[in-house]
Amino acid sequence: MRNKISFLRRVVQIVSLILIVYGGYIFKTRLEAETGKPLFPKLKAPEDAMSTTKFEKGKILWPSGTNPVLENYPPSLICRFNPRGGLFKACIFHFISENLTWQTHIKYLLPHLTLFILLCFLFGRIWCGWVCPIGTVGDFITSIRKKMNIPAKRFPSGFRVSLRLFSYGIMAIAFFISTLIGIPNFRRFQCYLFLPYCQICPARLICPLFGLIKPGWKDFENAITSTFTILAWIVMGIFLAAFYFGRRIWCHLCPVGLINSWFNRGAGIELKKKAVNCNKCGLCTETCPMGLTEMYDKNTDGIYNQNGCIMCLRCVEICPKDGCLSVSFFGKKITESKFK
Amino acid sequence: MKKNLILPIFLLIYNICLSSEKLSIDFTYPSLKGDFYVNGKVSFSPSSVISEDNITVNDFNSGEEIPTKITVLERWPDNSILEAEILFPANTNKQRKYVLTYGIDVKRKNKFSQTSVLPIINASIGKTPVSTESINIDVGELLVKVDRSPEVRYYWYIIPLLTLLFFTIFRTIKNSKKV
Repeated sequence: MRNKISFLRRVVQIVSLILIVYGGYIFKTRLEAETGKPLFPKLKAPEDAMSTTKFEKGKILWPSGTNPVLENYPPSLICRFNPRGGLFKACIFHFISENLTWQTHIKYLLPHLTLFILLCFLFGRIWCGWVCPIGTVGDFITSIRKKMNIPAKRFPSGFRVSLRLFSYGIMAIAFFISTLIGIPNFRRFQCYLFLPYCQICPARLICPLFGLIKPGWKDFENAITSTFTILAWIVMGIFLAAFYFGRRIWCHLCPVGLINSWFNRGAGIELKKKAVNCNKCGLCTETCPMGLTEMYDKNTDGIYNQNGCIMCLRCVEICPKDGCLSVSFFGKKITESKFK
Repeated sequence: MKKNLILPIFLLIYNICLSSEKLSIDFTYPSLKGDFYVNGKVSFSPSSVISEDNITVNDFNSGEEIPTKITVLERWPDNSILEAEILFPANTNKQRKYVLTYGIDVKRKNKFSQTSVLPIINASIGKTPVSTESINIDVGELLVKVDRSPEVRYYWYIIPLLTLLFFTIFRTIKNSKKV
């Protein structure tokens, strides 16, 4: 039992990374290109939107110049900085921001929203722990720290709450700007302020590197792009420091993870605790990469899908008591903790 | 003197023979914002249009050619086009007047194959404008066509979406009570 889940998670992370970043090549000839029919409606910018002409030139947002195979938005998959177009278009944060600006009709948004909610309903925030390529890169940074025998810093719960509130702030500002530049009078700012969060997201600098493409790391064309470039570097610094010193601290700040977290408690995948078997050893909270303590603190039976939980299942893996912690899918047990 | 007139007369006749004709394209812009397709049928006299590449749709003011998808529906005995169906993209944010140009000297450059599911607005080409809400009924060989699928197709997603949201909220409340 021990390390089996971690090994499986690593395999899934690597396969997902390859599929997400390079998967477009595999599926391109097999899906839409072959049938000639889109699986989901295409969400296009209006003809007069400045954003399309600006960013199609590949200056900031399309470094590869290759379009994704499917215009689809799974919860927290790859972003538009994906070097080879990839299989999917972008993350849910991109989806919302883009369509707030374009004011796409609701009937075209519904299929994408339905798929997103379906995946969140089934798996909750499992994407963050098992699939997210940025999280995979972060875990790699964390493994370097482990090799150097540097202990991870533990942060108080108040700090994590502050990060979550900060994440809400980032989200509110990003959505406000996205909505504002959709108003006709402010459209002239679209070429600079389009997808504001994407321009400072660490993925802007990380994703192009997967395809050996130079990231847009020195766009100092004007005051606004310079500000975004500087902010992108600052956020990149925070991202690296967060993963190096504090494991998954970044995931408390990530607005994409924040949106996924809303569905965590009601998700089909359930993390259960049987309190009678718990010996209060504290290994679950000790090993939790998100630093969550609720499972240790509360001594009651129940489902512990906290908002911050990324479903990495390290707690189930490490728990030394038989049947104390378990993972279920809509009540059907998948695995549980075992004494070894 | 007469010899000098031969060339201009020849050019004049040549131009008359090859000159292009223009037809107005009339349609009502929909209340729905964004992209949509304009669809219309047009009939030609014998020998006037040989190929679908001899038909273009242009912006009335700038003359810019609009990408079109042209399907030949029927041909004259001499193989020239009798009736063709024309589809081209438009946008409510960029309202402009379109004109159809046809003739042997017209060469279509911008083609497109319809891939997006967008609303389709009926247009009348060189005739009286038709309403977007009208139903086409050809009497004789009776044909009734009511195609509103692009409008309603994706609204069906609201049922699973709301169901999923309901179950998510229900389970969230249920699971929160348990802890």
